[in-house]
Amino acid sequence: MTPAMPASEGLELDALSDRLLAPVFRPARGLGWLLLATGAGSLTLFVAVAYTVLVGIGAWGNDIPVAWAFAIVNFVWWIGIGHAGTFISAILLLLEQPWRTSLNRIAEGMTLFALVQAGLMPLLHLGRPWFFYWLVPYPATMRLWPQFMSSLTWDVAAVSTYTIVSILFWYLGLVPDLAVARDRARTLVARRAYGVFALGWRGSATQHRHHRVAQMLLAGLATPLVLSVHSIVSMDFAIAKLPGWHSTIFPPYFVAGAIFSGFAMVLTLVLPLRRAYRLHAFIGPRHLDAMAKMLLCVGLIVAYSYAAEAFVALRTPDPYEHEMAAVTRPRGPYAPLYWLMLACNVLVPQILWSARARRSPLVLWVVALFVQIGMWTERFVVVVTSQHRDFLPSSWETYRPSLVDGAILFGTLCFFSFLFLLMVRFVPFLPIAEQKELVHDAHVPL
Amino acid sequence: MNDTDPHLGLVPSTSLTRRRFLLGSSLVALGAEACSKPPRDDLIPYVQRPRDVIPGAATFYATTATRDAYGFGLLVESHEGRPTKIEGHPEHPASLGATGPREQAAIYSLYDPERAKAVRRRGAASSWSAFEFAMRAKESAPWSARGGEGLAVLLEPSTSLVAEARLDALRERFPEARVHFHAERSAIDRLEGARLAFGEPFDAVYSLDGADVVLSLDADLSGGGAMAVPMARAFFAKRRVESPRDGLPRLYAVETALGLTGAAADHRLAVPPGELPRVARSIANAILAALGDRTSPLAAALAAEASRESEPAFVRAAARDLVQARGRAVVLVGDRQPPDVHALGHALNALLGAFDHVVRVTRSPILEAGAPSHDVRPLLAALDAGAIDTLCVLGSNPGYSLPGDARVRERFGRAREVIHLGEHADETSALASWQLPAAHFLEAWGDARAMDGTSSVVQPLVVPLWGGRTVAEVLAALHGAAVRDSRRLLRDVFERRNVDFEDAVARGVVPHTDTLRPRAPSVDLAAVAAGLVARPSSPPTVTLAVAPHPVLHDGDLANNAWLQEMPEPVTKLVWGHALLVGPSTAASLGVRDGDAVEVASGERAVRLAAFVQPGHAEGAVTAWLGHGRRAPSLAASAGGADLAALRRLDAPWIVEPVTVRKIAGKERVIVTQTSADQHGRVAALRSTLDAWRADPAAFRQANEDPASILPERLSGSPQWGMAIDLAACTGCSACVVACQAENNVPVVGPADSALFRTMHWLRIDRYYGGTPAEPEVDLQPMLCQHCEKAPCEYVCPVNATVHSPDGLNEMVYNRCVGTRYCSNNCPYKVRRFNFYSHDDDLPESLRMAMNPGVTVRARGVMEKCTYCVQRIRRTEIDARVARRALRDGEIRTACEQVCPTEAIVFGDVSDPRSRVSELHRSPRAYAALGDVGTRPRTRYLARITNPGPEPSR
Amino acid sequence: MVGWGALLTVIGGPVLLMTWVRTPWVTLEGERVDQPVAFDHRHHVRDDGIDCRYCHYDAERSAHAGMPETAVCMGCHSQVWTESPLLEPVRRSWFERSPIRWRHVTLVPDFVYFDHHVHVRSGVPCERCHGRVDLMASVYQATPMDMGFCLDCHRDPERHFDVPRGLDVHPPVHCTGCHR
Repeated sequence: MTPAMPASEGLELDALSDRLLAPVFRPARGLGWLLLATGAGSLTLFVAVAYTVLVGIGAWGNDIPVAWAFAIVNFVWWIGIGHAGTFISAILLLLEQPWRTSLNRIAEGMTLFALVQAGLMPLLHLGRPWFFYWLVPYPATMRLWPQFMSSLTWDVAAVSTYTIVSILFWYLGLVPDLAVARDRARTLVARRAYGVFALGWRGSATQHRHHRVAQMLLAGLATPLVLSVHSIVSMDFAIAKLPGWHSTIFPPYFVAGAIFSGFAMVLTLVLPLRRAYRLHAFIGPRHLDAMAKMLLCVGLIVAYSYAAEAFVALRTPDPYEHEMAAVTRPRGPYAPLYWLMLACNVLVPQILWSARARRSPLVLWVVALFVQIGMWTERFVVVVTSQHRDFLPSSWETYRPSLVDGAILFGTLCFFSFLFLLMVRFVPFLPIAEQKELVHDAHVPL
Repeated sequence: MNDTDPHLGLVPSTSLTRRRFLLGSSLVALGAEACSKPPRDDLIPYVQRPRDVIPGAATFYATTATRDAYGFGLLVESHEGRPTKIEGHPEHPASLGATGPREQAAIYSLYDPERAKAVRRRGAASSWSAFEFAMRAKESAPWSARGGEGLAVLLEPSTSLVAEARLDALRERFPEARVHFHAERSAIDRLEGARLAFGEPFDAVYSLDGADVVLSLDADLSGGGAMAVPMARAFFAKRRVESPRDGLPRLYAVETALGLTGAAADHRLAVPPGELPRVARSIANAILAALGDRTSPLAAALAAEASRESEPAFVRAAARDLVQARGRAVVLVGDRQPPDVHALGHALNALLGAFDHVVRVTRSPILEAGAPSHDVRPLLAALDAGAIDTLCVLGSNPGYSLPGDARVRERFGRAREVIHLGEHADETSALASWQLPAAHFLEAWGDARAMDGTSSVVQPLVVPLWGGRTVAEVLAALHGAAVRDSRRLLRDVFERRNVDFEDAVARGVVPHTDTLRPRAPSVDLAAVAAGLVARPSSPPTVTLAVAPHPVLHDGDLANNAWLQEMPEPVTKLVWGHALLVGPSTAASLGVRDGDAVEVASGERAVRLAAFVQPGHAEGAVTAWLGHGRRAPSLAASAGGADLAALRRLDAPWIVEPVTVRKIAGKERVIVTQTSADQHGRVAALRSTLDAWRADPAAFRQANEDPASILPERLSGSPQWGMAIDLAACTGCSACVVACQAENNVPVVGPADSALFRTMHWLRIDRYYGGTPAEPEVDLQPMLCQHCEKAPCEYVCPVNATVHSPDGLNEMVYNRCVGTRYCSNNCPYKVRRFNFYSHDDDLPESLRMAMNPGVTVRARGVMEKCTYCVQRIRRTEIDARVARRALRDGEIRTACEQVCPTEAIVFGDVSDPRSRVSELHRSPRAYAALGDVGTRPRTRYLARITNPGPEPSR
Repeated sequence: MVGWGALLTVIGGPVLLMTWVRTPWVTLEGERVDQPVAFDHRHHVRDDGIDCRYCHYDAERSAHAGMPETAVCMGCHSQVWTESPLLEPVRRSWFERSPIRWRHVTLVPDFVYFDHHVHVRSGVPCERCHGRVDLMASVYQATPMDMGFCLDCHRDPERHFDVPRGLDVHPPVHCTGCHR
């Protein structure tokens, strides 16, 4: 790619800082109401969670054979969304893609808040959540260790690592900007608050050098995680015998799906933000274009995965896999969801072949929404459809979600939005330091 | 989301009660507790220890239950004086060491929190002494002065010598008193038929090990019948062929709804109930023809009948085989058939020479068998006439079970006093002025006789929990007997017949008391012919066949949650009731499962849920007794409809004509299995004898064993395993309830059953092959297969399910965190999850039913069949302490021990001489889903059927 | 500063917890338990030389060692110390036919199916688990009684008590050995 034009609206660096801090010190009108609404919505999550913990998993629609349902679907979906954040901030950083600078803060924030939702699910999903620590290897008085053959133990490691790295990465990038915010804050409280988290950043050359190194190191750390985390999540299914789960293509398939849904989510968040704060200069057409192309490209990989999975299943001598692919998914009780998934994830993105579509925020936003829905449905198809008809026909039963299931899904959406809006309100969501860097680099003659 | 029905105390409520909230809010504490210590409690020793009680060790006592009044011997396990588990009595002719579901569930009935708990007088609390006083005082018992005139006693039929003694005493004191017997499932028609045939009310006992061809006319080979166990064991033992060379008996079955007998049959004919006698006659006619008898009055009478219609192929084939197997052929007639069909059955058995080897008879041990006192109608007439001052209903529940035209409410109203002795506050006690709590048979002294006359003792395992009394004791109170104590009376009765009482109590069964005749008296064919009732060929309308519920019978067991939640063996219905409709009838009515239908006879109608039943006779529909209970109770919470409105006293089992029509709305139908097709998978394998002979290795390919990357761990001895013979499994489901009783398996109630959350460790899968009109039924007990390469084990993140060195797939509840991954990865789906806490809301009395040897599982924990590991470890410890080796067959799982046909065998597969190893070597042995590579330790033996050349099944 | 604090809690918290569950506060070792009768094992075992199994005689034939019923106490104390005020509760229990409610000292969770008689018959000395009760004025739990404690001995018994010659002691170390 050609290097990005410095998105400075022709402002000098000093003014640029003010411009980029504006959302924090002069919050958009109506933001407060949005926070209130999403905050209230989040309450449904907390109520539903409390109820589940008090009463038991019976509060959900799960049964035998469908012992995993909404909670796991949500888990895979949310953690998938997280991936785009890491992808943008880490991999694109290493690839020195300057256009990412306008997006990485938003993307990283998104990752973090998606992880909060995702992390809640497997915990809540346990029959006895208060014993979650038995999945962690530690010297117990019971002289027992976890079963390291089980992918769920790998999951614990993968997800917790991912969470820690994501937090550090997000926070590290934030430090200089917090310092700027501290220096320009009007009230004492704000100055103190930003001051604490700015960790005494003075912006000296040494600090900048260390900062750069640290960021690169973390990026290096995070890059393999983009691939590893969802691969391991996919193994939660792949290591099982279950027809529809027992498949070697799962790791790449899941990673692609994750980045797919992640980019969709970035678009879903960025486009309204761009409009609300008039960031067209910072998030220009070429940003949208790049994102759209990513979406299209990853979408094709996902489509290929579907095809490959179905093909293998249809060619295998294994009668169970075959019935799953040939009958249960396309024609079973949950067939509509299967077809919806294909429509959203394979058909809809094809519109992005047109350059005009790629540069139209509205089209992009709608496509993104479809992809979100499609990807959630994909997880439902994988998790529930595979379970409800496996080996012995005598135990083939269907599953219907309960109210509580619905409340939890809705609640996580609200809670996610709530946290994201909090970030928009209190933290510069366009990376000031890095923007300035770009402008500066552009000014000095090469 | 869940039942908030107050009567489902045993069903978890999702309501956030205070304790539940505390429980929740102290989760952390809970967690801490679970990994450290229980709260410090008290240790309470005896003051002086009773004889033969060792705390922590089980004791067994012999006692007797009854099936339709006939004795059924039991051994009851007791822990510190608390009965927890029931087994069959090996020395009792009706039990042979096995039991049915109802005996297993008797433990629940004993501790049923809804039992009647006090004497009540017009609803107000009273006492036994008040009752006894009232029965002696002139003004409250005017009949006592008039030699009992105006006193009527209505009991259930009985075979008890003690009851007999009490009745004699009553009659002696009150010669004018009326005594009547009534039960919905009664032997009255059968005995009447026997009287027609033999001139005396005989009971017939069939030893089917002598039979090569069996014709069942609506008979019940494997259900709850008084002699079902010995019959089923003998017959199905002969169906377990060792090699393709062996032969096996052939079973013909005629029935209306698809039953277990029909499911086991080689040829089955489904006919409306009204048609069945006609089929019986055309078969009889064909048999007589084949025997070359055209002249005898019977032949004449039958020929006159049969000539009217063309005989279906079934009739020809059945007659041919029966005659060919003369001497080894037998005809069985079901209790619900009219007397002349029973008589005809005896006649045929005589003609077929069945009385030489197969059938033996005895005078029925039922009190006053064949006497008019078994007809309830005169009593009702007397009530109408106002001739009854005091009506004493002991045991039964006529207020619910009697047909509508008995007009029980109104007629009972005519009596000044109605006394009711019952285990529950039910429809009858609602009409009673004295409500007396009955003693459960595990609380009672008494006796009973089996159908072959064998006498056995009923001894109490506990003092009556709620001060209940037995029928005999209330009779004693009525006539102010000198000897009150039932135990003493029993001793007197036994000693009068010079039986060693102490010995009898110790053994339970009184040896050599059977009264079977060495040779049967001849059958009076002329009388049978004369007895034949001409029936008008029934009009082409729909008939309603009324049947006792296969599990709940006439409703006497309807308050038993274990039985309510036990899937009905064929339909798999739980917690409710449905109108069984044949496929094409259903199509013509345009109804599907759960559609509301109205069954109307005249102006009376009931509303029921339709249920399409493959193999049900067209032109008829079937409904069960035992539902639509009015008295507020768990039984009532099961819903359904009461058929009394439609039924009539003179024909209690058939209502015709009826009109069936679909009406608006849905009715609750809960089934535990919704797909019935095997999809060609290696589940329940079956073959015909001919096909097997053609390909003896047919079942071998099911044992193909894919390679595995999981480590080989299992070596050494013992290695536990199980074999289940599908040729012997009748689907009776005794094992399901036995497992529940042994392993503290919780009941989840209707709401969660509908969500497929039942907790049974052992279920019986039911598959249909063939056509909807003529289905081929496969039944397969499905439980943890204890796979050597268990898929559940490697996915559990906390090692809560692992393999023991002796080959058990262990489930460790206290380590389980409830990820449920094991269940997802189990190809057999035999793992059960505690979606709620089933223990928190359990009434105190039901806690007493718990087996102390098995952990009561907490909420959020996975559980499954353990091969009854508590029994294995207990026996191993005893053997270890006694410094001896384990014997084959010494350890028996609950399901194995209870099985009437010995279809389940457990043992050491590393010992080539063990019974289970032998079965695993059988050419019929295969691994369910063997192609998945789980290497199950439980092996099935394929079922071999023996259909004749025609009619094609 | 903030970072160090975080690090400390992340590392230190778990370590602290893992230490805590090994302390007597959790295992209840040595916790004093007041009994309805001031029964002194020192006197009965040492001075009178009564064997454990004289009173706890079920230990040899049942899963439960059993608390002696009042009758056992009265066996002697209807003859000796008949007037002793210390024995008032025992006499009351005997004459009122109401059991003595002893406090449970040695606690294992309900899902543990410990069987006394197989341990006794395998030569495990009482004091291996119960400690020197003969030196206790009032009985307290002398060992941690957690799963680790059981497993250490089950994994190699020879190291924990001298196994009687001739009987090969091979204790179960699989789950259903104790959990059913």
